[in-house]
Amino acid sequence: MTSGWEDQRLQTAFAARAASATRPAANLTDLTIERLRREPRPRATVIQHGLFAGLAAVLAVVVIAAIGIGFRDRVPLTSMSPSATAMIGSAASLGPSTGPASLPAMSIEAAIAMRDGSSEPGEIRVVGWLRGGVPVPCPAPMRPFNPTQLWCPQALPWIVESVADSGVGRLNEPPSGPGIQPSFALVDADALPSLMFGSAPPAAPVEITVAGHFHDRRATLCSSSGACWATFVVDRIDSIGGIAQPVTTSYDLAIQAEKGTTSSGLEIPPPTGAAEQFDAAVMSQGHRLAVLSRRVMSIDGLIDAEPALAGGWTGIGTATTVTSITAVETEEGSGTPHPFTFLFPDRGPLFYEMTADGPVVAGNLAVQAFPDLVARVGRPLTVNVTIGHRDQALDATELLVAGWAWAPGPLFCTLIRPGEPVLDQCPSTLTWLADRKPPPATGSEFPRPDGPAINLVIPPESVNLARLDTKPARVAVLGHFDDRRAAACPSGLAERCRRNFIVDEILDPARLALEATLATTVHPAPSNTPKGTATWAADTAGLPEADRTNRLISAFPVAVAALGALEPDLAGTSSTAGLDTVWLVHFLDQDVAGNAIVRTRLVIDADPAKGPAQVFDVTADGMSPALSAAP
Amino acid sequence: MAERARRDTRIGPAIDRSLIDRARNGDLDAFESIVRARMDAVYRLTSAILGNEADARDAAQEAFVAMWRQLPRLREPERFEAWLQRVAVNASRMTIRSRSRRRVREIPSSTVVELAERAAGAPPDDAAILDAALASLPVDQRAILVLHHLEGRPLAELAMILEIPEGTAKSRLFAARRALADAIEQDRGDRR
Repeated sequence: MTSGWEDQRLQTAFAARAASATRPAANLTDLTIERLRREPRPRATVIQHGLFAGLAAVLAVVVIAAIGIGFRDRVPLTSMSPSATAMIGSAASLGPSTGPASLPAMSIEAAIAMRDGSSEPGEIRVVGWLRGGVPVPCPAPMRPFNPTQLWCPQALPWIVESVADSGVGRLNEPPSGPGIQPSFALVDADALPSLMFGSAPPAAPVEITVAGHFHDRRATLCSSSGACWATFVVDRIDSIGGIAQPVTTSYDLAIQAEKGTTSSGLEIPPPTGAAEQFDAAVMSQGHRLAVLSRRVMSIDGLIDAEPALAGGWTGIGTATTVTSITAVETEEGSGTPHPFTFLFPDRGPLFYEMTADGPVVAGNLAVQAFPDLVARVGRPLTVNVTIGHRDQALDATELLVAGWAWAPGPLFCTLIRPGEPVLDQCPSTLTWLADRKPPPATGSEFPRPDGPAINLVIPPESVNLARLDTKPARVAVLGHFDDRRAAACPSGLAERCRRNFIVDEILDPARLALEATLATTVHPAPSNTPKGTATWAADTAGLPEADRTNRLISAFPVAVAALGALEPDLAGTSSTAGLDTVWLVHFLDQDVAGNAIVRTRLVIDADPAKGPAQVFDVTADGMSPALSAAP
Repeated sequence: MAERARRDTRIGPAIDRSLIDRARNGDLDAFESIVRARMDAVYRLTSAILGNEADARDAAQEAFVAMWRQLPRLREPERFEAWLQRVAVNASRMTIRSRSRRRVREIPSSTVVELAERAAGAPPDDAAILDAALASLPVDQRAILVLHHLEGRPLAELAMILEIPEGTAKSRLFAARRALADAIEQDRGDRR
């Protein structure tokens, strides 16, 4: 069958292959053990739940029915409070991309297996039967709150696998089959029926479908030693009793109860607009994000929902309300869909992605202040879409890609090939742009991407325009595949070089603009003293001052002796023979099809006072006199 | 075949049953002893399936974390070794799936050298041919081939490790062998 590869040969080849493989790193065992020590103990059994119920009864100081003020959000199934939640919009009215229908729906048992088999906060849809809580006496809730921490779990509902376990909650009787206790802390759950112990049983079992996730980022901030990572945090109630539920906006207690004051006694002005006004900004982040739920919060409510902000957050500015929108990625190829949470401080131009380490600027609602660059190259793409562009339509179109980027920092790289500006080699192979913030690196390792990611190849002309930290940061990267210099890559590697993403500049995602001033000043002067200036070179190359903003990427002098490091094809050619200094001008232009591309012009250094200088187009074919210096 | 039949299901010195029981009850010290005893074997398996050092390292680590989480629910502790291999195979599967979804291409400097050598016409040995062919197979096929041809698991043990009927293990192994043959032929054609 294996044409000469009989069992013995195959076995020998497998053995040789295994022998040539590297041994596990000496510290792998230690790293694994270190990680295990951070893991929670294997989950508690249902018997332990029963014990806890008894213990809680002994320690009770306040009955569950009294838990109202300041905690209603976390125990929404109590029947004491009338619904004050506004339903804004619906899955249908917001179009097909706003529903989580593409999420895998799974049984409770499958969800538990997923929870225990992975540490990813993958967003899933869970289908099960609703089982009520039990009105046992509960201690008063204490701050800090954490949506992953189930306060007085005996009083909270379950979603169970078996219909036999569903219905009204039973005292000291946990479900006999698989079940999860979800946290409804961040969604409006008023539409759920109350199935508390002692209430009349429903006419029929209530089947519900909810979208949510385990391994929530807030679990690490849990104050209890409980397994908060195992809490299923509900991001949306999808259906109740087979009836589809709309995307809802919920309000925290301070706003919902229209008390008008926070705990500090300040008035809370109402938000300046409806929460769904931010949906478009969320969707503009790419990933085919589908809105799951919205929540409008006071500062206190924000801290309850995001305990990482308990220590303060300067990004909130003077806002007294913050809208939080939870969305899930539905883009094909993104891998396990993750939930995203975006925060919109009221009246603020900036909005933020909430991460385990705190909020990070995700964009600027006043993006119309920077229309030029977006008009030229389009809105920022996700890395996943960018990879699709590379794999399905490889060309040199200039792309703006938003994501998380980081570099390895100072690093001694071996086997570097100098004079290969677009070849992927260390440190580019450790420089990443990823759709998701990477998990923290362990030990001395570099962070590794989690989800779609590409290496960023930063050529010499972009080094000073593409500063990256070792700490992953949200950025927008301007760059392209299929760089013309790929043809100069070593034999056999040209195709690989074509597929490398070549960085032209790295921008602040809240300020999508090319700064002409930066473009003409960022590069250090060469060792020889040029006669011209950067602005003169830009002018000479056809970019007068009025045309430089959002077009000029860089204009800088290069000693001809060093030209090969930037332009391998031009090194030692007759075109530059006898010259001392030239200027390279990189700028955005269009190709014949109207796609944004980067052009490079070479200007021979000359005294600006002595008339026009020579200008050349630098293309894959080499240098040719620029027909027009005014593109 | 006879040699394979002589092999024990274990992948190292036997682990004391009491150690497994303690670990099942949440004794992390006991589980650490298991990690130390089985890291090399688990890494060898993940490395053989994934063919990539970084991925193999991640998968081995994920496998032990998954074991720690799932150990209390291990119904048959006497089959711990088979279960351990199953978890390692699953961790490899998860790793490669996430990698392929990401379509991440991390190119170590050694690859540059390897590509250069290949371009220079250096004849590949059987291990290199196998390596290239395996890389094109789905992870499940790689796993069954590795378990059978490297770890020496007979069909009955393959069935136990992969939790499939023995007949299914046989047909999957057959399909994997055929896919491997096709991949080797394909690679040979590419080199011509």
